[in-house]
Amino acid sequence: MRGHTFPRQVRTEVMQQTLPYAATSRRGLILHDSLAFLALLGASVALFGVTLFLFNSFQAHRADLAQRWSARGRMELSRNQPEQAVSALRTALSYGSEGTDERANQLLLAQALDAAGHTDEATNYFLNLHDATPGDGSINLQLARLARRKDDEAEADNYYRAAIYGSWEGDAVIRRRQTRLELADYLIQQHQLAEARNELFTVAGNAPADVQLDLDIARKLETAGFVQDALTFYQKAATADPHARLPLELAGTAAYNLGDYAEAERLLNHALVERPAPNHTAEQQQHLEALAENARRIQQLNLTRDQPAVERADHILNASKIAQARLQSCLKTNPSSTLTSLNARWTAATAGTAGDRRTLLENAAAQDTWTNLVYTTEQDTAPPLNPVCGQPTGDDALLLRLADAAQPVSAPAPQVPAAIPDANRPSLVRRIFGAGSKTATKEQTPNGK
Amino acid sequence: MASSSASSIPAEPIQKQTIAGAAPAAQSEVTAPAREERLFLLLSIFIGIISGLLVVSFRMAIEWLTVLLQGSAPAPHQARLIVVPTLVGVAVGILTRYFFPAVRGSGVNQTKAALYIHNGYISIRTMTGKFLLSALGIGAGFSLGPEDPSLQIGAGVASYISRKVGLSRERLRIFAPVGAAAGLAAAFNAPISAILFVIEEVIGQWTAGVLGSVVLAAVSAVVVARWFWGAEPMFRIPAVTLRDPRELLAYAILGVVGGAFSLLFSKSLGYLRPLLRSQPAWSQMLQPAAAGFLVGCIGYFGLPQIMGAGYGAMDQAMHAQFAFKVLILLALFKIIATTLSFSSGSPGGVFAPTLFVGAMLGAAVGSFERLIFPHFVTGSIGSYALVGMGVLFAAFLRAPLTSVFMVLEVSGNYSIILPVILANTIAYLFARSLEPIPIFELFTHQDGLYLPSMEEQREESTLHFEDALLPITSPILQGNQSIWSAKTALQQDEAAAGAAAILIQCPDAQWYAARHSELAELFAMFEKQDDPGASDTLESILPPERTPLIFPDQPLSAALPYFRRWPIVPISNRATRGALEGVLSLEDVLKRYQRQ
Repeated sequence: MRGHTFPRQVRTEVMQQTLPYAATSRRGLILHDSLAFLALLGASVALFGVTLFLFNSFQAHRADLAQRWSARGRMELSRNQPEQAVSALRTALSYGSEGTDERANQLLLAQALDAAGHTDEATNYFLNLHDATPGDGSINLQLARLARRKDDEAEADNYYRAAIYGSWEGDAVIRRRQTRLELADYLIQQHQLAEARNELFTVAGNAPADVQLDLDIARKLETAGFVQDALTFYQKAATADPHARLPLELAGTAAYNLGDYAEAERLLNHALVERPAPNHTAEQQQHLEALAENARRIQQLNLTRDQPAVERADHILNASKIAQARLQSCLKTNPSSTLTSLNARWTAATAGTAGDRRTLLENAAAQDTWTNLVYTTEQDTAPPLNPVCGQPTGDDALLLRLADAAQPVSAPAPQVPAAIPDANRPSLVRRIFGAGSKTATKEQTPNGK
Repeated sequence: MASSSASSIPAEPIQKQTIAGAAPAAQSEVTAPAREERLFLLLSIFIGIISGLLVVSFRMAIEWLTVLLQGSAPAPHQARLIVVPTLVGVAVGILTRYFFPAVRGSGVNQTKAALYIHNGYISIRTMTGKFLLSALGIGAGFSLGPEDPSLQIGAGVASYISRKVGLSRERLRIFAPVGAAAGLAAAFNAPISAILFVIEEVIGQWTAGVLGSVVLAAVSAVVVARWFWGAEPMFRIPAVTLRDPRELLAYAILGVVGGAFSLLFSKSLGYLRPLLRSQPAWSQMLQPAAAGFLVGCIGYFGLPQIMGAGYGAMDQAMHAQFAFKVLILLALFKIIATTLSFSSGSPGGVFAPTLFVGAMLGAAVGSFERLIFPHFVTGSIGSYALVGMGVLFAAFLRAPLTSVFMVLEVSGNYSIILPVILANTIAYLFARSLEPIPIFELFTHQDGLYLPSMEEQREESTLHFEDALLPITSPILQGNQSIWSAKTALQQDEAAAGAAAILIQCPDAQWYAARHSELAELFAMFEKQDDPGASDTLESILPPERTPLIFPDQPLSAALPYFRRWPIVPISNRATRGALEGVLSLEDVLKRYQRQ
């Protein structure tokens, strides 16, 4: 049959017979397929509707469950039940969806884990949150606290600074300030005092006028040993609120510690005039009054050169009586060689007219000698040099305070009889500036004295 | 013309009838392939969309049932953890026995069986039963996964649609895996893994026609799924940076450990499943209830994380929220719970439990290695857990390629690729050396079926033309030489008489393989050199067709149809057009196959 062709007429007849059948079949198939696709489209739409309904209803239920468990977690956390809070918040997260609530729950969970003592897990959680939002201030702060707990200084410092410069919800300025204050606390803890001071000054520089903030900064500066700077801030707070007792009290105490007794007396007396806080105790009141009295009295015992000669002479005479009384009292209980030689020095100093007021007025060197004698007496009769005589009280204590803070006076070496050597007695300079005076050392370094 | 047509008229009616009778069949045979070609791709999209919607509904049903049956926060010592799976097990046992007998198992083997035995047929009843009973079982706490049933649901959708549209049997068979890929893609929210798995494990071949439909369906399903669930990866871990290449050793160790655990898993299933299936029918009906009770007890007494698919616990493992001992316990008890659940006949899959065990194991190995080698094991626990998932997937399910892409897709983290490839390969080879039979093939053997093993097919060496071709011993004539000179040359060639055929090289680098009898018949017309036509070219008297152009690297089986027409087939060289590497006869092909 290969190559065989039908006559044209036959071909035409064949085509006329088969074409209608083929056309009908093709039309039928097209119709069938079209209907099939329409049915598929309809089924897809219907199924989409059902699925959407199922999906939305479950999503709503999940959101409800997430809220309920989140509320329970917060409640457990507020009740200080971190383990239960962890469990509840985990459940809340398992039902939560992407959004603000999810993030808030994650933060809460991490905090709950931290509170429950699961530090590593909390760190991992915060690290995951950090990966998602590395610039988030609150997350960096939490990581800083965790690193601080793990004694990881470098990490803590990094995270604190990241928190300070990170993004915050709500009042970012306040949150950053609080974080910087916390960093300053940490630096003080790590004895990085200069850095802590810088941070506190930065806070002060960026902060609005706020008495409480000034007090916080001042307290921290004082803790770090920068008492002069602390006094400045206390005074700033006192100026901002002249009738607030606390700033005056703290400023007066700082001034007293710095040795500015006139200022201390002024501030403390001002504080005493103002109304105390409701929680102010009687003990605190007594302490304040005593401190003010000390400030006043210590000025009367002042033996420094920066006062009129007459006043100084009177003060020296008064102080010498007090010191000698102390010495005599100690000699009775502890007649050591040190005290005995000291007594001899007093005897020599007060011999003849040397102890006259007029002599003292005319002789500055004698004033210095007497001053040194007074200081030496108070120091040699007090612990740690002399534990037997007991702690000095009253004017003796004040004189001792002055002695410990005193600058070396250029006085000639005391005329000590050769018969009473004291090889173990430290020199005057060493006693004023040496290891025996811890208070002086502490105050001198930060203030440059 | 009329007389000639008239003389042939008596034959016409017969011819007409023949033609007329043949016309519809011929026409439909011509129309059907073209129609199915047009329908194929469009139907794939619809199958993908509908499968995606069904899978999303399926997952929603599981979520609803989990919350309703297990509570919103399952915890140890909750009585419902024991009561609910037990009661649901009773219901599943009864329903499986009397209403949905074909829904037992994961769904992967059932889809393969539909493809290879039932011409791609999956009934609506099976699909419905799978949907309902899997959702019920997993929601109640059975330690099974939703992915395998999703695969079968998708295949069922494809089967139903293609039947209703009226496709041919060949297309019916192909559509089932198309739907399977769609279902799995929607379940994992991972199109590449689903496509690879179906091609790697179900179909076993990479033909262009199938691949296109599978891809279309999978992508459509994922588009639908992501419309509801979003495009976020299932698990998120930090980027993996291998600071020290020695850390790859740590992942290699994970591969070995994963291989060992996969062996434990497969041995457990291989032992318990046939044991339970050999029990009487009434016992088999109660097995799901007993499994539910035991799984519930595990949850009740401290490990509720092993109930259900366990994605929440996997996420927790990735965030290092479990201690080392807890991780090991979870891995071991998940194996026990899944073995009980699956072997009891409760419908559900093994994908999610495999990932669960892998995640726990990976996190445990990672934690341990970090403790022992803190200096060079710097990766997060999450990265080890993720690699662990891939390790178990490769070792237990024996899908190495799928496991790599699955890990990449569920994490969206490409930086993990090196550890994944290394660990998965080691785990796969280790597991295969200890247990040559893959788990799905084990299940088919236990079910009394003989389905092709894709792993074995991958291992089979295919013969090519180059394995059988022989040197050219046939005489060669030139097509442009004269007929008389060709005849003379042939007569003078003593070896030509014993050759199987004569090769004639035609212009345009083509060849013609002629039998002796064929040439003798042609040469018979030319007895003398000066006979008319004797000086014409040899090519001019040959029939128009030429031997097929085939090359040495092509499969040997492709040669068989050619021998109906040709006595021998020449094997051409790909580099030099027209040059031959050798020749092949039917006898040569058969000898080569018999030698294998």
